[in-house]
Amino acid sequence: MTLRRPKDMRTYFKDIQGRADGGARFETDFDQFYLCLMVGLDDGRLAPESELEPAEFNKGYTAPYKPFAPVIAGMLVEAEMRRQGIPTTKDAIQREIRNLIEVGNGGTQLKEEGTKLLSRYAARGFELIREEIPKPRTLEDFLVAYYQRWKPAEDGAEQPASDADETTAALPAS
Amino acid sequence: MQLRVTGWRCHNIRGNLREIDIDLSLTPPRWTLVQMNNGGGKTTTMSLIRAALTGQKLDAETVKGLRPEDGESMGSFELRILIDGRLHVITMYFDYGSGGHSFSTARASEADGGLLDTHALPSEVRSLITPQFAELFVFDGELARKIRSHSSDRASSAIRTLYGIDRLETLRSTIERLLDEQQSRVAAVTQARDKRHVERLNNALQAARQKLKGLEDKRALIVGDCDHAKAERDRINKEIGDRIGQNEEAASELDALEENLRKADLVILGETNELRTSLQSPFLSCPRALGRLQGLSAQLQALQLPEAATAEFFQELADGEFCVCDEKITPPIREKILTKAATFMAADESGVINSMKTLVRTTDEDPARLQQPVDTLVGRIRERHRIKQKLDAKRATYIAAGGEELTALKEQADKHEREIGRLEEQLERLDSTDTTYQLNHGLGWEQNIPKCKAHVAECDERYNTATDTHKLLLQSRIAQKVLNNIETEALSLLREKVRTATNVKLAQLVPAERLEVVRIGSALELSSRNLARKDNVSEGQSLSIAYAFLASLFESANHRLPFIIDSPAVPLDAEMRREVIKVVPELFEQTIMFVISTERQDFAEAFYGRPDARFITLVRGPDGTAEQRDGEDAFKTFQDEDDAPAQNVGEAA
Amino acid sequence: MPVPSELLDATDAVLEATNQPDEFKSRLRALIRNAAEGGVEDRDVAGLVAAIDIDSDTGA
Repeated sequence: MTLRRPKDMRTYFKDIQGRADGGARFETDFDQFYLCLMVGLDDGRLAPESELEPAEFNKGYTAPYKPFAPVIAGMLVEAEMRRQGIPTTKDAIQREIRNLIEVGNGGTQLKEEGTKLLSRYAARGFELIREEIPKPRTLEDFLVAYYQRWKPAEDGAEQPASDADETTAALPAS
Repeated sequence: MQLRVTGWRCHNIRGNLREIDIDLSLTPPRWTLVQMNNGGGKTTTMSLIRAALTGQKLDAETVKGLRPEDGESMGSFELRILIDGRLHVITMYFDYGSGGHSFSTARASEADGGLLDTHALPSEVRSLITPQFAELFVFDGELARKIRSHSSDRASSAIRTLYGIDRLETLRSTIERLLDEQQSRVAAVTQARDKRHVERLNNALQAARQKLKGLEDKRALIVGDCDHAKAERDRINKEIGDRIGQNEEAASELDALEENLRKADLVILGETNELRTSLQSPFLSCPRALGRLQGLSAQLQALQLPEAATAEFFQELADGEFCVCDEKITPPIREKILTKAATFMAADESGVINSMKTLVRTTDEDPARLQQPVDTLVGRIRERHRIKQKLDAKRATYIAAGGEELTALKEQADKHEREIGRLEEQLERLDSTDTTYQLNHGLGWEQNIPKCKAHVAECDERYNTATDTHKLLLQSRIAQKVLNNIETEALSLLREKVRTATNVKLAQLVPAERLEVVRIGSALELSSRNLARKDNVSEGQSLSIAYAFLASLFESANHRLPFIIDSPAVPLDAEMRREVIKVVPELFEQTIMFVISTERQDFAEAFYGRPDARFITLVRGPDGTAEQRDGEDAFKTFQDEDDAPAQNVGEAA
Repeated sequence: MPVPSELLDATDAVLEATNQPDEFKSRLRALIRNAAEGGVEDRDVAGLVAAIDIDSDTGA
């Protein structure tokens, strides 16, 4: 099972990647994917599968992210518990962990189900990014904007854990 | 298929059919002559034989009409036949009160061997022996008239049925059905059932292809224009630069600014890359992650997860002979251990969780820490922007100072720049695969190349599907036509064959008149020596024609059926009787003739002494019964009380 | 039940008068034989129809 890119993600970052003046760029598409994933896991909702590119993408994480695989796995478990409203009982948590985690699966340490969910979280994250940040011309502009989009929530208390059942995020335009 | 009658039985049937049991044995004789009193039930028996063979439904009136005079409430008729050597017994039960009847069929040689409470002859027989067809070989004089009547179409349909031409009809209907099915199947994609619609789809496809070409040509032009504009812009900018550069002061100032710009870019490049690298850590790129994961860790801790014991531990324990507590592990205990094992995490899963917990616990990354680098970067971007603005402003100043010419050049450059922007925007509209962009700019297949390509593919599919159906339609029609032609031709050949054979027999049967069948259309059309068309024939001639026709019909058919006749010779004079007797009975493997006493002369007597002939006489008795007498002697001496020599045409002169 | 020879003759006569491809002719003969003997599948008929060349004669 491989990861899949959110639709239109590459188009969105096209100007950055196509920069001819020697300015900073993402190393790989996976870097783009990863930031989208962070936003999506935080938001805790899944985009529908139709929001993913059909083509296969990466089997696992690129080198810089490999060490973080357990953390990402943990974030997925946490996000799923939040999204599904799984109670913090021993059985429930154990079950969810067993559902999602599997070692030796191309580096994500996730079962096929878990890998699928990652792609959908990334697609959700991309939706939010596209809404909030205008199509960036440079990487520096984007990263600054990315950092700053977290700020409003940062200054206050944690957002309360959402106990919504699975809601797939709606598309911005119909 | 070969059909033989081995016997029949009547029970409580009107006429003299109270209790009749005719048994011809499993190897029935070639000729069976059954002599009965006039009015003794010949016609009834014939009808019942036909009904038993065809399984046709009799109406209440008919059924009630079978009731004997003394008012019995129930009756039955049983027919025993061999179909390709296998015995079948068909029984009809009559309820005279209600007028209802039912069938049962016993098939002696079937695996189930049992009784079926329906009319259940093999399908081959059922499809062949329709009521119409049954009249051809369970024959009474009625048919003789019918085959000469156009309105009944008996002659041709008999040929069609007997020689299996009707199978072509089945093929034709299969072709029709397959066409229908295919048309229904593609109805979801398109409704093309006629040529015009197919043309429309083709037009749509051509239009789509043309549009695509148009868009691609347009794109090529735009790219060309854009490149040209860029080249011009660059050229002009260079020229402007050169001109300005001629001014040393300007040159050095601008150089310095450009240098600053480059430096600023470099710094930004470095800091951006650093920021990018930092954000590779989830703790930094997702500020709330740490807190949440700490919460999760705490929960896990409280629940003592992952457990020190793992699934593996329990698996291995279960495989062993003794438990850690030294107790022996019996099968039920093993069961319990393995069940329990399923609730524990595997070592691997535990490992991942534990790694996570460790990373969460040991990280010192703090998103707040990024604030400063980001702020710095923001500052650098602003600074760069400022330098750029300064640079542009300085350039503008020097251009302005450079007089009209330079200004003019600048304007040209700007114009090209705007042009480039416009063209790139157009290019974006043509090329974009971004669905949101397409939506926002109202781009359909006529404006956007990727969408147009998809549209072409769709039109192509629709058209091809439709033309496949249209093609199938044409092919089906041709197939139908071929089959029709074959049927017509085959019928024509068969009719001719039967006609010729009939005429040969007719020449024997009615030599004086040279009666001929000129044509077998829907009826037998006759001519005679004196008349091109002969419509009026005597009853005798009519019968002879029928016999000649039937004999010819059956002689080369593949079905071997018995010939069951009611009063075969009554209307025939002596001469004709002698001819008929020579021709007709020889043609069937089994012939059963119901005769009355007056047919003995010149007809039945021709069978006396033949080893393969059987004579049965049914003598009317009291109360509707009949006494069955076998043998030639009884047959010869039977006297029908209704016999009155003057009444019978067939009496020898 | 074997095919009446007249049916085979008729088939030959009609086929000779058409320009249809050999595959069609061969399939049709087989089909007619099978129809007489009782075993015709839908796919046999479909195969026959598919073998028809619509640009040939219209079947005389």
